[in-house]
Formats: sequence, structure tokens, C-alpha cells
Amino acid sequence: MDSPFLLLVLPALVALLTASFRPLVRKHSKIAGLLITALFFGGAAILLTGISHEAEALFSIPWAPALGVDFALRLTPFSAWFGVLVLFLGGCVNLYACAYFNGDARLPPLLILLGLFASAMLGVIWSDNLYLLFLFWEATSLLSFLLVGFHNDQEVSRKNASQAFLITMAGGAALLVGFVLLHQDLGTASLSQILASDIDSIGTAAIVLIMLGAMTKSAQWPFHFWLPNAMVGPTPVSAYLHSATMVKAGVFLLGTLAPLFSQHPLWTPALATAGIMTVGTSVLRGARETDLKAVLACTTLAALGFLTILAGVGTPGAMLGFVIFLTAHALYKAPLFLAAGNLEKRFGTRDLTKLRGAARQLPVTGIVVVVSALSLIGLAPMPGFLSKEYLLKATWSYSPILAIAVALSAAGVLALGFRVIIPLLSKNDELSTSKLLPRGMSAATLIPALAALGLVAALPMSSHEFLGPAASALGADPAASYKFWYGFTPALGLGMGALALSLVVTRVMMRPTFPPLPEAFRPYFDRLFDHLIATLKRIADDVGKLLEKGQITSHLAVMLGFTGTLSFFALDLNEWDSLALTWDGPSLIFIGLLPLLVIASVVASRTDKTLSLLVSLGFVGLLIALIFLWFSAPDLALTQLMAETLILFLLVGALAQAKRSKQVEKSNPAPFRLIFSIFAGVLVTLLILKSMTLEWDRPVSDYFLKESKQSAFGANVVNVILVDFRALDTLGEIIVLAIAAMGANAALGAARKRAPLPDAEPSSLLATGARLVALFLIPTILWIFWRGHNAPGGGFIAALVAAGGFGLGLLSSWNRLTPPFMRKCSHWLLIAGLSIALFSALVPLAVGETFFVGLWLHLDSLHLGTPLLFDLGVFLTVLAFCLNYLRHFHLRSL
Amino acid sequence: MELLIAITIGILIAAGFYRLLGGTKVDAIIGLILLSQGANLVILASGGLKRNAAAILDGTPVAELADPLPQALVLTAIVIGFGILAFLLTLLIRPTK
Repeated sequence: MDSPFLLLVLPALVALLTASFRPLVRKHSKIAGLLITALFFGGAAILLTGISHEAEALFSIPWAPALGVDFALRLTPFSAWFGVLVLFLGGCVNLYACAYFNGDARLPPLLILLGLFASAMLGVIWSDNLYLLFLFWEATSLLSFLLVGFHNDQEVSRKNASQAFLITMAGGAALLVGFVLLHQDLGTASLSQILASDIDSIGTAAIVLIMLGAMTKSAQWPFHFWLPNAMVGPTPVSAYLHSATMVKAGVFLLGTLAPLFSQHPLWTPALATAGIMTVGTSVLRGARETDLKAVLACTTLAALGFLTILAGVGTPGAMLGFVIFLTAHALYKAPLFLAAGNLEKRFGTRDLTKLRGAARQLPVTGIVVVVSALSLIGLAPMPGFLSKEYLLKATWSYSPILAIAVALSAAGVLALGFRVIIPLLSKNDELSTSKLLPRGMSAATLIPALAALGLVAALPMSSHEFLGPAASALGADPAASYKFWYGFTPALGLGMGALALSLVVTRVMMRPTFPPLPEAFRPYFDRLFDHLIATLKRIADDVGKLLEKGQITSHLAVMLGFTGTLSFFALDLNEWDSLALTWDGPSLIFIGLLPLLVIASVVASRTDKTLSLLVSLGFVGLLIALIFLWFSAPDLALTQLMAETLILFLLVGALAQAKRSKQVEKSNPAPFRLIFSIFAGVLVTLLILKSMTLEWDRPVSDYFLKESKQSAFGANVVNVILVDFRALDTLGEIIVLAIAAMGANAALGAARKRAPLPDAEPSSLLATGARLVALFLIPTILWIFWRGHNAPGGGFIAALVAAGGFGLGLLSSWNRLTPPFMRKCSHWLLIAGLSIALFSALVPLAVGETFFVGLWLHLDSLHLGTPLLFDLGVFLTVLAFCLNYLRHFHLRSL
Repeated sequence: MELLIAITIGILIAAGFYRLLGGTKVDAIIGLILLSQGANLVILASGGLKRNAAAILDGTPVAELADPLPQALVLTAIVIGFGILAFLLTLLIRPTK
């Protein structure tokens, strides 16, 4: 195979196609199901032919090499075999889902999620880079949250889905930290290189954290409780989650790392303990459940426990057992879950006590249940037998005590298997159904069971071609193969003993006096988790109430105070370079202006009267315009002047309106405000003084200054920056203005239809004078616009001046400036402005240049170019924006 | 001169905070106006302050000209600030039910 990338995205592509043809998929569910299944099976077949004895293959695309993150995939015989299982069972599950939700509106979303989920799972097992693996890992957590909570109209679905999500995400966080530590310890994030390195150079913390991550994902004790709860998802989801994906990601990681990590003294004891505890708790819980799916979920927990033990042991023999156990479990658990779905669909219940004899009614489902349950119980011709024998063999050769513990707990699991199969097969004449199942559901249930039979029927071949290479990729002996008969070994004896014991246990469990599941029965860790979450919520509430009292003022004070305190520490008063304070002569004027600014600011900050507020604010704005002018920024001074004028115009309208609906809110006490604001002012002053002692390098500005004349043909560098060098920023800015203009229409739209307030007669002097001013304004605006490239001026300023002219016209009540006219005006100007600006940006593309490169036409000393066009677009957009606001606010101010 | 501009900014910031903590919507808007005036001056000052050196190329050595980049930023900031203010004012006078 050339590259696994295509196979990796195949399920995601299926999801994309489903998303594009939702109605079609819903209408022809069966055809869609067949197509999707064919694609999945095709992918599995391609993958299957690629498995060989050859070692791993790497495929890498650089992503962020400096950080050690690459889109690197690693295909070993094991991960390829696992991929086959993912795609094969994915195909079955999709087929099942299409028949299960035939014509249902919920089908397309489910198929999309399942497709993405399969891709994410393939990503987990094929990633070579640790961080890539982590990304896919988190993707499976997120998607399983959506899948488990698929019936999101039910409270219990939402609750259990978020429980699974929180636990696996917390584990994911631990895993990430573990990966980072591993990366630091070994200096590589590539899995293949990590596996070839030395265990002594890996810190214990990394190993513990990675174990934690894998254990949460694979629902190992004490994080086991989320998995039985996660069965609230639809049946195909449960089948997929429990067989080949999600929970298998954790044991996959453990198995992959086992050959190296099992040399660490902590690895085997920790995982063996967790595994045994998981099996034990799952048996205890499963014995009391009567829900078929719940019992099956408990057997999944047990299987995961066994897999964890095998990965924990990590010897070559254990890895041999690991591969066959993983395969056998996937191939019997998926059909069992799907069969449970069949029974529920026909008999309307999952309660084992009500399903007595159900398997006899549905022939196909019945056969599947028998075959799969026999595999679960581990009887001879089934793959389950192999997995049980190799499990016992590996643990026995590692430690007989562990093997006995495994056999004892296995007896409980086998009993769970009997508990499922005996009621379903027993005679019961009351239960009957005449309806047949949809063919898709039967077929999807049957296929994996047949595959399991095929696997054992052709055992020498499958062992040699697929299972053997897969196991040897994990460190097992390449010459080893799977056989049913090894002669009389301790493992065989233990297996027989477990079977005999399980019959006894089954008798005890099936007795009517066996205590049933009490209503309030909730596992201990489940309750602990709920308690923990509730406590966290309460703490968050308390902290929130402490800081946020429901008033914006106190909230602001807390936020600003916090930021201020932080910056005060950042100030670092001990290190203070001497600031060269220059008192050159002309700053005397500045000294004269400063008291005025102080007075105006203080008035603006305290006054309640509209008039004094307007005057003081206008004064502050004017003085700042003067400061701009003083410090060599004429463009800023002009912009500031015009913006201040328009702000005053808007404020008059707004404050007059706000006065009428005076709302009283609780204010912070004045002394507090005073101290707070003085502190803030002093802090900012000190910060600026400190920043001024720094020597700035200005390579960017120097570049602009140097290139402005040569390549942009403009002497006014500020304007050239705006319309040429940084035109993309300006484009963003005028788009923001356009959005703000439309926002005003949305906020005030209803009010716009109201009639204007009674007309106040404007002064006749103003009416006459305004016309005269307007007459002069037109050439002035053109002149300001034109000269902008070489002298102070430009589109922004010209637009503000033009808007000022319109404001004047509105104040003197010109007949032409009716609200509909203004609306139309601003509407069309906005469209024209944005289109011209965009056009000027895109024109260079037509002649093979990059976006926004200026194209110039030179006529003697006259330079015409696209930046000029862009400036026109800016002019029109800003004018349209101003006109729109003038219109809204004028209605009110009259 | 640097000291004076720093004090000016400090005063504007203090006045802005005082108003901002007042509690009414009008207070918040006026406070923001004052704060943004102060912030514009901060950006301008960060490029270094020069007299009689507008960034207009007329033969003066480039190194003596004022830094045009902060000026371009402030010009944008003034217009955007105006836009935000205008939008805030619509929210102020928006008829509430």
C-alpha cells in the first residue's frame, strides 16, 4: 500500500458525503447503508492485503517540525490488523444503523458521527507522532460524547455522556502531560523511535501519567463506572464503542508501549492490579443487572481488564495473547450488542427476565447469540477459547498466583456469559413474534459472527498471515502461531477449572433468591464522581458569587483591580533606568494646555449635566488633537478633530434620549472610585515612563519610510501604510465599520419607522450659512482626498469631513435629507465602498500578482494606482457608516 | 516632555476609570471615550515623540522623521473607536420592552 492517508480519511469522507446528501441518505437509507458498508469493507480488504511479516512502515508529512509535531503515521502489522477490525466492524455498524434508523431524520447525523469516529480511531492507532496521537485521542473522546449522548432529548443520556466525557478528557489531559514528559525525557516524539529507546531514560512520572490516560479511556478500575453508563447510546454506537473503538484505544496504547514499558518496575503491578479489580467489580455488578446491554457492558469491562493484565505482563507470550484476545473480543462483542438491539427492536425490552426464549423466535439472531456467547464463554472451536487459553498461559508463565487470580475472576465472567445465554435459549411459549427483522439488521449482526467462525476455520492461514505478524509487531516470537491444542498444560487445567467453577456460580446467580439489583444501587465510584462534580460546581458558584455580585460596576472593579495589581508587579520598581527628561523650550505651550486638559477631564468624569458633559468631552478631544499636531502627527490631528465633531453630534442625540429613560443603578461609593482611579492613573503613568526608557529598534517603520516613495509613490507615509503596506488591516477595519452600521439598523430598526419628533425650527442664519459652507466643502473634500497620498489627508479624513457636511445639513433641516434618502444613500455607499475596496485588492490577481499588490499607471508626475482606488473604497465605506448613524441619531435629536 | 505626556495619559485614564465605575450605561460610555483617548496617546508615545518631523517625505533624512507606524495604528484606532462608540450609543437608546 502506498500510503495509509487515504484509508485514514475514508470514513471521514463518507461522513462528508452523508452530510452533503442528507435528504437522499434519509430517503434511500438501505442503498446508502450498502454503499457505505461496501466502502468500509473495501478499505478493510485493502488493508488486509498489506499486512505482512515486514516491519513497520512510516509515512510522514512535516507539520510543525520545530515543535516535534509531524503528521506522521506508522503502520505495523498490528496496527494494520487493528485497522482492519475498525473498518470491518465500522462497515457492519453502519449497515446496521441504516436499517435500524431506516428513513429516520436521526440517521444522517448518526452516520456522520460514526464516520468521523472511525477516522479518529484509525488516527489513534496509526499515529507515529505522540501529539498527533493525542489529537486523535481527544477527537474520539469528543465524538464518543456526541455518540453516547445521541438521544440528547433524554436527561440520562446527557448526564451519562458528560460523565464519560469528563473522565476520558481528564485522562486525556494526564496523557498529554505524560507525552510531553516522554518527549522531554527522550528528545523525540516519534513512537517508533521511543519504542527503540532505553527504559532507564524514561521518568516514572511520564509512565504513570500515560497509564492513567489509557486506564480512563479503557474504563479500568477505579474509572470503570462510566462504561456501563455509556450504554444509553443507540445500539450500533454501543456495539462499535465496545468492540473495536474507543475503549480499545486505551488498551491499544498500553499494548503498543508494553514491550518497552513493562521493563519498568511499576508497570506490571499497577496494571495487573487495575485489571483484576476491573474484572472483579464488573462481575459483581454484572451479576445483579437484568438489562441485557448492561450485562454485556460488564463483560466488556472484564475483557478490558484481561487485556490490561496482558499488556501489564508484557512478555512475548502475553502479547501473543493480547492480539488474539483483542480480536476475539471485537468479533463476539459487536454481534452480541447488535443482537441485543435486534431483540429490543422486536420485543420492546432489554430485560433478561422478560426475554426468556427470545433467541428461539429470531433464527438468525439466535444463531449469532449462541455462536458469540460460546466465544465469550471460551468454548473450544471459538476464538474465545484461544484468547482464554493464551491469557492463562501467559499469566501462568509469568506468575502462577496471577494466573489463578485470573482464572478465578474469569469464572465469574463465564458465568455472566451463561447468564445471558440460558434465559434467551430457554423454552417459553408465551413470547412470540411474527414480524421479521429488517434484512440489514440481521445481516449486520451475522457478518462479524461469521468472520469469527472463518477466522478459526482457517486458523493456520489466519494465524500465519495476520495474527502472527500482528503479535510479532508487539514483540511476540515471530515463529509462534495460534493452535487449539498444546497438550495438557497448566493453562488448560486452569481453563477447565474456571469453566467448572463458572457453572456453579451460574447456578447461584440464576437462583430466584439471588438478591436483585436494588433501586438505589449505585456503584461507589459513580457516587463519588457525582459528589465531586457537585462539590466543584458549588465551589465555582461560591467563588463566582464572591467576585461577581451581579453588578457591572463591582465586576469591573474586580477585573481591573486584578489586572492593575499584576501590572504593578510587572513594573518592577527596583529596576529603573534613568529617564532623560528633556525640557526643551516650546513645551511651554504644552505646559499651558495641561491644566485645561486636567480641568476638562475632571469635569467630564464627574458631571451629570448633558451640556457640561458635551463641552468638556469636546474640549478633551480638541486638546488631544492639538497634542497630535504638536508631536508631528497631522493626519491624526485631522482625524481626531473630525471624529470629535461627529461624536458630539451623536452624543447630543443619544444623551437627550437617555435622559428621558433615566435608570438608577447602584454605583460604587465615591471614595472607592476616587482611590481606585487615582491608583490606575499613577500606575499607567509609571508604566509609560518606564516604557519610554527603552530603546526601540524600528526596522518595520524604517522599511516603510524607505520604500514609501520608491514602490508606493506616496510621500505621506501614514497614508501609504493605511492604503498600501497594511491595506489588508484597513480592509478588515472598514468591514468592521460596515458591520457596525448594519448593527445599528438591527438594534434600532423598529424605531426607525416611527415618525420624527415635532420639528423644531432651525435658525435661519444656520440654514443660509450651511448652504454656503456646503458649497465650499465639496471641493475641499475632493482636495483632501486627492492630496492624502502625499500630504496630510486621505480617504478617512475626507469621509469624516463629508459626513460633517451632512450633519450640518441635517441640523439646518434641508428638505432633501429625508430619512429614506439618507437610508438609501448609506445603503448604496456601503455596497459601493466595500466592492471598490475588494475590487482594488483583487485586480492584481488578474495580472498574476499577489493579493493587494499595487498596480500603477504613470503619466509624467501623476501616479494613478489601485491603492488610490482602495482609498476611494475606504472613503465611501466610512461615509456610509457615518451617514447611517447620523440618520438614526438625528431622528431623535430633533 | 515625556513626563508631561505620561501625566496627561495618567489623568485621562484616571478620569476614565472614575467614570467607568459610576454604574450607569452613560457612565460606561463616557468612561470608554476617555480611556480610548488615553490609549491612543499611549500608542503614539510608544513610537517616540518628535517635534516638527511629520512622516512626510520631503528630503529630510529618514531617521529624523517621526515613526509612522504608531500613527497609522492610532488613525485606525480613532475611526474604530468612533465606530464602537456609535454602536454603543445605539444600544443606549435602543427601545427596551
